[in-house]
Amino acid sequence: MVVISLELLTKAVISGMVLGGVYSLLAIGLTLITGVMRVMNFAHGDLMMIAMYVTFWLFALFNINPFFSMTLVIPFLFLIGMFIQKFLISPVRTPENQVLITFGLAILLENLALFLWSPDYRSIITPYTTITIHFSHLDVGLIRFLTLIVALVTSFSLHVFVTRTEMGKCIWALAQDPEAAMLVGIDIHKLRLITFGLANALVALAGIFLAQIYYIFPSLGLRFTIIAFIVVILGGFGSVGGALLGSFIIGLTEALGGVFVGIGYKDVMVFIIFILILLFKPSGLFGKIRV
Amino acid sequence: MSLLEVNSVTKKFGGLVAINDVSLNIDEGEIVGLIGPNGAGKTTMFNLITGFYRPDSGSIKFMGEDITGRKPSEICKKGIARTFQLIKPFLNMTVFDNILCGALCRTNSVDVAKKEALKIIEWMGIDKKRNALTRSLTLAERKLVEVGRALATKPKLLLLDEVAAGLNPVETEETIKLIRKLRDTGITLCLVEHVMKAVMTVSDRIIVLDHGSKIAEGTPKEVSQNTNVIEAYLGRSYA
Amino acid sequence: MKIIKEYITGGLKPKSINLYLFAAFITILSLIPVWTSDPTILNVFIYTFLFAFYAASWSILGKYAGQISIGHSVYFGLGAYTTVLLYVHYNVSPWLGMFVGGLLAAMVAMLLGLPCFRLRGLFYIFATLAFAEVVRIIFLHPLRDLSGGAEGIPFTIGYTSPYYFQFVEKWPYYYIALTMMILLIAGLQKMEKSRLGYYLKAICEDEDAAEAIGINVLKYKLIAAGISGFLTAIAGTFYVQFLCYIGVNDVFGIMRSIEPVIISWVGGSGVFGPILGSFIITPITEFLVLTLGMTTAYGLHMILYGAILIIIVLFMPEGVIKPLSQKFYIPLLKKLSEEYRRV
Repeated sequence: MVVISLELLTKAVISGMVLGGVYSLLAIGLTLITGVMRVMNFAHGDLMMIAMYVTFWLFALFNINPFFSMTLVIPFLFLIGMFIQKFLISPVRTPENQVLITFGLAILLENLALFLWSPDYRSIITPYTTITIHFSHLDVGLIRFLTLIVALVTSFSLHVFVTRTEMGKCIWALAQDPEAAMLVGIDIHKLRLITFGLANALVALAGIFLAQIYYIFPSLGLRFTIIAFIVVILGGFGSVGGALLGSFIIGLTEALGGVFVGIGYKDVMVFIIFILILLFKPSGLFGKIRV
Repeated sequence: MSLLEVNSVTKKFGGLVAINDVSLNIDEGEIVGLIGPNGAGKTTMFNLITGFYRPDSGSIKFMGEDITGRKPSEICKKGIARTFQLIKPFLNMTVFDNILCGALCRTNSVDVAKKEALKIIEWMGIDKKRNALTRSLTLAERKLVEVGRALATKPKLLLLDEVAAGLNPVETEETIKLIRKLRDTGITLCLVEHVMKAVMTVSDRIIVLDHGSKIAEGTPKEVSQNTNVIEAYLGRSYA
Repeated sequence: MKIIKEYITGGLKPKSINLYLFAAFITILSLIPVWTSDPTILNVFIYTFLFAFYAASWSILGKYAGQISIGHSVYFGLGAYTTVLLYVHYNVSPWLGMFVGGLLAAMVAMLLGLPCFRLRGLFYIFATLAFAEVVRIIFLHPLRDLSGGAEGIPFTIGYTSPYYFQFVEKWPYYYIALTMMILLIAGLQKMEKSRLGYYLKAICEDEDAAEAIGINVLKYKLIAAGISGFLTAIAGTFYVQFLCYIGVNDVFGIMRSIEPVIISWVGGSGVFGPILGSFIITPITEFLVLTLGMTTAYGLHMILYGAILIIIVLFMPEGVIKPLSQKFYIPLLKKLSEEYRRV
């Protein structure tokens, strides 16, 4: 029997929370896409990977601090998102074809990155990387801590945006019934462009933080795409609160699973959760969009 | 024993009660008309009977056997067939293949099913369009394909959902003839209809639903003079 | 002689023309190893036949049943590993192992479909992707001792043994692959005209209408999944027996999942869609590997796959078989058969 110390457990919980934070940024964007546009964007994680590489190269080549390059990377991904929606997704009629095209994009991006930048792991080391904050018994890395805060603040802002602002409500209307939304005068094409762009901006944000606490390599995209989807399915399509809660559940499951069951099995545990949801509550914890 | 017994069935969708404690019977050989204003719950009732929805409470018995909550494919095999309000023929298949799929319900052999399909196509009078793609047909012709496909499953009870909708007077007349012809083959029929001429002339008995409840039942003449029915359709001032 | 006379008078029936053309096609293919023993050329053909078989197997679920799977590598790898492990540990002939692997894959395919087919189609697509990744990771780390991990298990015996499905020369593999492809073509044509074929078509058209005429949609989707999984496992077995090497990332990798999809999508529906697709895509891949070498070509050909998938879905989602057959095949039929001209 492996003895698990309190220290190890605490580290795992913190790790899980931080992971949860990163996942939440990915998942909120994805839940908006799947809820609003009923598109499963399989290139989600790979777009984050691209954001991470852009952040890395801006840092490695021009010494631009990731927190500054945010101002470049986020709009860049926003525009890419709109581009993808306009030229790849909306011309294609059926949902299956939309899925295939995003899958093709994912394969393209991953292997392009592989070809251009090799499979070597990269990392970003800035002066802040090693700073830790002390909370009574706990030591948390500064950037990890910031990641969590940013994730929570962003989730909250997005929730407010979707429920209180005009545009947010339009997005919600579009998610419920596209035809009805059109009939009340909502410009659904423009809205779809903005939503996809917005989701990608969130992806960029996630990437910028992740790039500083994790490694950067081409094949991470697929893995994060899969986890983001599981979070979205767990939380319910279109539910921002669900995506938030779900990401912490999954993040903690991974971290704790890694400690209790073993590193190799943590993905299995997440997948088991996925199958359980499908079996018992496919609409997710807070799913409002019918399955 | 009635052919179909619906006992105190209720169906809710969230807060909306679509069917509220409704009971009805259909006896063998009858033609029953199910009418009511829009939103009364007629198609919901069909969906409940054919297994597309599951009742929240109550039971449905067919030929004495409980079929509540069974799968639609099972219920079809038991002998209830239906058409859809917004018809769903297999558009990218020929008329023949559509009916063939229906006939395959009763046999494993494609050859036997082909013979059956041919018989039905001839009986329905759509033989000329046998190899046409259903997509190329008019609405009236597509409706015939849908009915023929349901007929190929050799049902004892056939539920027709607004089969006369969207048809011109000549086509409506033809539909009435078809319904009578169907009954003559021994099939029991239940029609949901808005086209009053069709349903009143052809039905033996009418059941009226409004806002999920049964408000009247009787012969077409009785029902058309019932104050509750008039009120439901036209408002209190006309009752 | 009768055929020539009929040709001259233009009175051949369309059905027999199809048969004769197909027979000619098979004959030409069968004669290729007689004309050349160049291993490169034979390699290209072998892979073309194999991936045509694989793509056609995939299409039973992906096109005929309308459930796209982007995780078929699971069945490919399961077939391959079952066969190799049974051989390495218990000396079981791969011909038998192949069958066992097929059954295992079929069961897994049906188990995965069970929760997923009841929900919207997109759930299943995602589930296949996630499942394929999970299986790959399981074989890579926890089951490392069993699977050989990324390095894999070399299991060549160095000499020709039909019993152990290993041949030193290429031509036996060539004929086995060709036979597999032909048998599957015949099998699919039979299936299209069978009850299963009609039912799958109905399910693709309208699931509710299908249920209403007695078609248990879940049951038939599961059957399609099982058959597809079984056949894919067989393709996986052939692949490793041909390569004489098995590695986790090779058989369970994402390229094994994308290959049948892209081949089927480029080719189009029907029996000959995937076949045609393979004859287009596979030689391109092999050409890249030859000119650029394995490692560079690998990354590049995947980039190409991604790009081709995007382009095909944007501009020709129905694949090339319809336009090609309109342009070449139908005029050919018209020329050879007066009866067809009248139609």
